[in-house]
Amino acid sequence: MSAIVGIDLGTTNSCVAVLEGTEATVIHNELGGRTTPSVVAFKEDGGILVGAAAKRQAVTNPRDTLFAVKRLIGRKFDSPATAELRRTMPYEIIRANNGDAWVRVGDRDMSPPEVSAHVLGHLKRIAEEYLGKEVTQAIVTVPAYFDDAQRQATKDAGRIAGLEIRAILNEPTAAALAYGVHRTPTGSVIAVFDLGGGTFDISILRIEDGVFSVMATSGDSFLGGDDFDRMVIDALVHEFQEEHGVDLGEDPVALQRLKEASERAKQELSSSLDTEVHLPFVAVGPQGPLHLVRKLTRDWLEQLTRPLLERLEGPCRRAIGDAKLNAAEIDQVVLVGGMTRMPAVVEKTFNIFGKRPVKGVNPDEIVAIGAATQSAIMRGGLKEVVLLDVTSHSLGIRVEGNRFSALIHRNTHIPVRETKIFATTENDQEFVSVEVFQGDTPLVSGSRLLGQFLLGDLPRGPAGSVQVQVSFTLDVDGILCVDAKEIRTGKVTSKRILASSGLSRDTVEELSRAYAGR
Amino acid sequence: MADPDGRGRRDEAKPAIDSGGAAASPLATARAYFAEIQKQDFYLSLGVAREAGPDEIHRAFLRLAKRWHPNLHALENAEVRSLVEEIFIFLKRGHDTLMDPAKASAYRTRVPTANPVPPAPAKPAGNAAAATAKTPVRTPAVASKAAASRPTTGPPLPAARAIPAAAKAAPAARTPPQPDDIDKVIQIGSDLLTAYDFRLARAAFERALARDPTHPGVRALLAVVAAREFQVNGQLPAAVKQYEAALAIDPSCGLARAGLNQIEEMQAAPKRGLFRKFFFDE
Repeated sequence: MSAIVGIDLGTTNSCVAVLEGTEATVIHNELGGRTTPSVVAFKEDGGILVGAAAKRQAVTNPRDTLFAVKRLIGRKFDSPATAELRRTMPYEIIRANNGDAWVRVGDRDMSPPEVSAHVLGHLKRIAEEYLGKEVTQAIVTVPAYFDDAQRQATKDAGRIAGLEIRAILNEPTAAALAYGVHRTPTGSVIAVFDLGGGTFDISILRIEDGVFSVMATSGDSFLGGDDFDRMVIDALVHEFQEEHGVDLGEDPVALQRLKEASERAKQELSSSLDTEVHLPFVAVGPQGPLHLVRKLTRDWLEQLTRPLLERLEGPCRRAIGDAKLNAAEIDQVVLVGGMTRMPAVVEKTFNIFGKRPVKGVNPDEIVAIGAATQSAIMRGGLKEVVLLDVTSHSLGIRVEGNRFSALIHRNTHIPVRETKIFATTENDQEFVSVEVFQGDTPLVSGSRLLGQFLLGDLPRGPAGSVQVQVSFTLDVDGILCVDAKEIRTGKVTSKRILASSGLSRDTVEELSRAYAGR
Repeated sequence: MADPDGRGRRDEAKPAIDSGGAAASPLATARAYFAEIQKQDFYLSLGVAREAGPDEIHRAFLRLAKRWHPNLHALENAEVRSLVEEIFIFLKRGHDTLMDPAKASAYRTRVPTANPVPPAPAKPAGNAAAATAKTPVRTPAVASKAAASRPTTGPPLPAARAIPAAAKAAPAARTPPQPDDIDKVIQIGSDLLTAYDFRLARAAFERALARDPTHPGVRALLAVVAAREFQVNGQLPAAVKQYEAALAIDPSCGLARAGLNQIEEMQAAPKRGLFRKFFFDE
């Protein structure tokens, strides 16, 4: 029986685990690390480095070292998130023909799934090395707040790397499974607060009779440790400019050094009250070389990142409300993701939930362990346990007046199918445009277009007389399929939503062959 | 799920399935089970009595989820996976319907266990009968499927054995509810109307009218049923006439007013190639 590995494909770090007997084990990488940096570097000689080796050479090769690509996956070039990344990333972000955000390295344009495939492929090799056999199947986790396009793109990344993705699992749900499977009494309600490198998720689950049922989930797919680093970097660049009149932001090498130092300082301030950033020869001024030496305190960091900390509260309140609970009814709070080591983040969760988080959870590894645990459930090795997850976004179509008509509401258990009947707006209307949106606003202007297609050859008739039954099926991985059926003729149009973005099946196949043969 | 008497295989299109009683393939098992539950009402498919409370219904669903959740079949072939997805969606729809008191009550009216659904009453208000005959109105598949495919004779289905004996000892509960309270009948009829089930909505209102032949609210609602039938068939002038008739009988009839507003909206400022939300869907 070939192994199914569980992979936590993180923004900053990734982790791979496998089931050994009945226990999930984290696999060490080639350097003995239990997590591997999600960094891919392209060298001038055509070589590709992944993981710690790629991260180490980032300072000397900032424009061709790709990190945090997960923040770009499934995003449009024109989105505000991409604009923010273009401002802050040392590598080049470009607009692909289909409007997606891609990256450019040298003269090569790459989609985010291609880049992530290198990370997944690296983890695949780590697992193969450890197990002594080929690994072709994986369960990959994504943030619960990831949408359809981001999930599709993650699946594509797996296929390119030669992995059959047996399931896409939500990170907080995976963490809940790993945490709760052996130690939570039936009837418990747990909240998983997952603040990673790039995304923030909050999920509330009820565990009863072995069923892990997500009651509500919320989050922010653009809030994570990288944003905390960025605030530190911006503050130090600003101070340096004030003091020396030199903009470190102009120099990719200096910026990369500053980024690494800022990340380290932030981490150190989780365990000590002060630390120092020390970057000799960071720039050259009129009077000669300049050094950046700055003492940082925990208070300073907390003041600085206050706006980010404040953004954690809204999604939590929303999830608690959607679960129809009050905070006191939540029995346990589980913290996941490296950023939850920051004392101010722990304090924030205490303020929201009114209780201390549980101890004994490794926030960097628990998601991968949960993914590997899910493989035991699939194999039948862990009986009487199942996850019932939900969709984190409402899905619907655009109707007259630019209104959004939801078919599937957020926090609905998946898989699910919902059907609604719609009518034409014109006399003798020949076709209708089915535009699929995700969002939670009454107007589509606040929503995101996932895809669209035309249902043509409608029978003639006055406005309102021709009716179309639209049906949304959201599968267990959170991927949407839309059918539209004209009621009188029974004409059906079916569409798996990927048209407006993403890679075609053929392209994925081609990239997969290229990856295997490189 | 065991299928000892093989009745679930009756509708099998492919004869290749082993019927010798040996361990069935995952595909055969899933097919047989899906065929079985599709013939049952939601209570039977979840294996609970009609009187079951929310706790019991929820637990029954969790038990079935541990058998039929798609993740538990992720390693099967695509055909099995898609079948299991359908099974789970079916069970979940049953769960969601029965856990919601309003939906459950409408469902129980629509799908009574023991007695057949009352035959469609022939004479709605005004000229709606003619329209009905010419252009039969489709009701959503969900609403009618269980009723249409419910077996009326034959041995009990396997899941029926799960019903506690106590439920069988209460035959009264298995006949369609016949509430005395006219307001309740009106409420049920209005729910049915919102669910596009014109035939049963009309039946409910006529039942109410039998109790109180002069009730203006009910007479107006019967006109609304006719109006909506016209409306879904695109006969907007006829629909307007019926809505107006309803308002003439009962000026406080909200559904009639909403229908007129909707038609007015339909006729004003249309945009090519877009949908409008139909009816009173939220």
